[in-house]
Amino acid sequence: MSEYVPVLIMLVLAAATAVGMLVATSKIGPRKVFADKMEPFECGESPIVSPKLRFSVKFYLVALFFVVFDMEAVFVYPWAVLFRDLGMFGFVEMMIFLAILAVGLLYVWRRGALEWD
Amino acid sequence: MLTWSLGFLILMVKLGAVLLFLLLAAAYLVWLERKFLARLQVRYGPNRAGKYGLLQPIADMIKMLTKEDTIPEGADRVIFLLAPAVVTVTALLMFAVIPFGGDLSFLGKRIPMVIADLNIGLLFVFALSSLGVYGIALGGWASNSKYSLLGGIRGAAQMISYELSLGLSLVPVVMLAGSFSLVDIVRAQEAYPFILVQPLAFVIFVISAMAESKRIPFDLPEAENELGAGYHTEYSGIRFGLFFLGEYVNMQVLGALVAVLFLGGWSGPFLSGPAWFCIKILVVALVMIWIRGTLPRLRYDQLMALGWKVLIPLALVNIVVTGAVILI
Amino acid sequence: MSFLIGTEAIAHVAFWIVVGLTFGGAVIAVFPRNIIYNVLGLVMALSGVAGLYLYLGSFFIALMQLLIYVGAICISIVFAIMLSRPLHLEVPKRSVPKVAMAAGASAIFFAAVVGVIFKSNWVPAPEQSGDWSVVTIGHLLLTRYDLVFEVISLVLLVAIIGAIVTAGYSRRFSS
Repeated sequence: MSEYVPVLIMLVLAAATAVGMLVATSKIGPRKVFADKMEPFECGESPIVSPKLRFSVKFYLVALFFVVFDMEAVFVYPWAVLFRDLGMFGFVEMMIFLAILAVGLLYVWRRGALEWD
Repeated sequence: MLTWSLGFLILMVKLGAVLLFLLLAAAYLVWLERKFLARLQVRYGPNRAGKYGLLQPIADMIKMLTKEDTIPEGADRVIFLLAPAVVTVTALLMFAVIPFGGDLSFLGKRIPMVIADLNIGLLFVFALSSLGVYGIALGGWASNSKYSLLGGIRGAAQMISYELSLGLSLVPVVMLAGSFSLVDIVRAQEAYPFILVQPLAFVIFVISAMAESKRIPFDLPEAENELGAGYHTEYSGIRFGLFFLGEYVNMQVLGALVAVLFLGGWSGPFLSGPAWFCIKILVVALVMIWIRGTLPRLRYDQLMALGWKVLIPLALVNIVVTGAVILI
Repeated sequence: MSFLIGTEAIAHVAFWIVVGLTFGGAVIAVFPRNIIYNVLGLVMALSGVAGLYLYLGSFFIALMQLLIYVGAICISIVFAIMLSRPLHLEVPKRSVPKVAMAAGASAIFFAAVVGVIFKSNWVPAPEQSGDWSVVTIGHLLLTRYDLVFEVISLVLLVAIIGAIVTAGYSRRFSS
């Protein structure tokens, strides 16, 4: 356990730095509130907010693919450390694992889910 | 009890030194970037505050602290407040596992020049860089501005895409070193730095890391000519400063990671470990600024295609080839 | 850093902080009406679970928990919210029948879990090793549980196909 304690202390110090800056600025800085200033930014006029900003479903697909391939990467990491111990057996095992996921990537690619136009 | 308090004291000194160094270096990295970029563009750059504009970072800091921090109407106040802190804290915390020198002897004790030598240090860096996405995404969402939202979504999609190639590109390095500990990885490079045996991993890592830190040519989340300032459009004062600080601390972390993983870390002739380490970080930073001065911004489809269709397949092939070469 | 090995008391305090984080996160994940707070509550609870793994002695599993659940799955939920709901819309009102139904379902599940806990014959976890480092876990995964390991890749493949199908990508782009 003991080797994580420095990390924890550093987390506390880093957070204290950030929070300290935020608190300091709220004490030091001026505060003059009026309606026009508080509007969200628009270049020289009142904000034009379209009632529905619609996004391509591809953004969400990217997030889903990320979850899947991140999971894949997580299973590759332990193998990378043990690579020399496990030798050929582990290598073949990992090649099968990667091949199956490469098929997945190829499928995504062929389906055109990676095209942005 | 005495050894306990001595150990604690040493730890606190190390922590204080590292944090102070990171914050100061971030400030002067901004100066360096402005100055070097100006020279590349045949301008002078900052030259009013102090000699060669050397006091400019301090002036900027005072300015940001004394500005009003506005919260736009309709914004989610809590999340709006926290998002910049998330970016800075995750960036600072990554340095906890990065070794900046060999062991130092002091009063008969061996003091490792790293805050915490975790045996899975590299995974710690990955985990923190994936948490950094929250700062961008939530900051953009909570601002109640369409530019921020668009910037936040672009930024999050870009960061998660390149996180994959970032992680996969380092698998061959771990295979060569046989450990996730960054200290062990440096030790494994005593004979030759890994950039010589893993040039492809190096290229993939540097490209993905630059995309992770949203710098030109990957700065679509803050593309100023379409999105204002992207996810931090609505931020002012020190909150904007925290985003900025996080970005430049990230740049140092990136330089440090390149040094540790590919350039042999702190080792080098004549000079002491930390000095070599700083030189290597500085070189990486200068190359990044140089790239910023050279390349135009990518289009979004090019960005996604580069990540998913080029870097990830290449990283996978690199893993297979490295494995085969080591085994045969 | 042997000097930092804390006493029992510190370890206990750390444990209760982690448990508090998990429970507090779970409460936030359920009660606020603003959906982004629910996700952040989930993030908090899952980080708490990572803390529990840390307490059990596996920093590797704790980091995997952070990397997958907090860094990937919750990110994709946040992403979905950003894509679908503008901030300025009013949050919908709570409807009583829905709350009742949800409470009922969770009560049944809770009762089932409690039942299982009391019915099962608890054996202390084998003390054969407290070593759950990445090396041990990787070794077990790649030798003893190698079939499971390969099946995982198939599951992930199915997940990819599922993602494409649910996104309504089924026929349009297959030229």
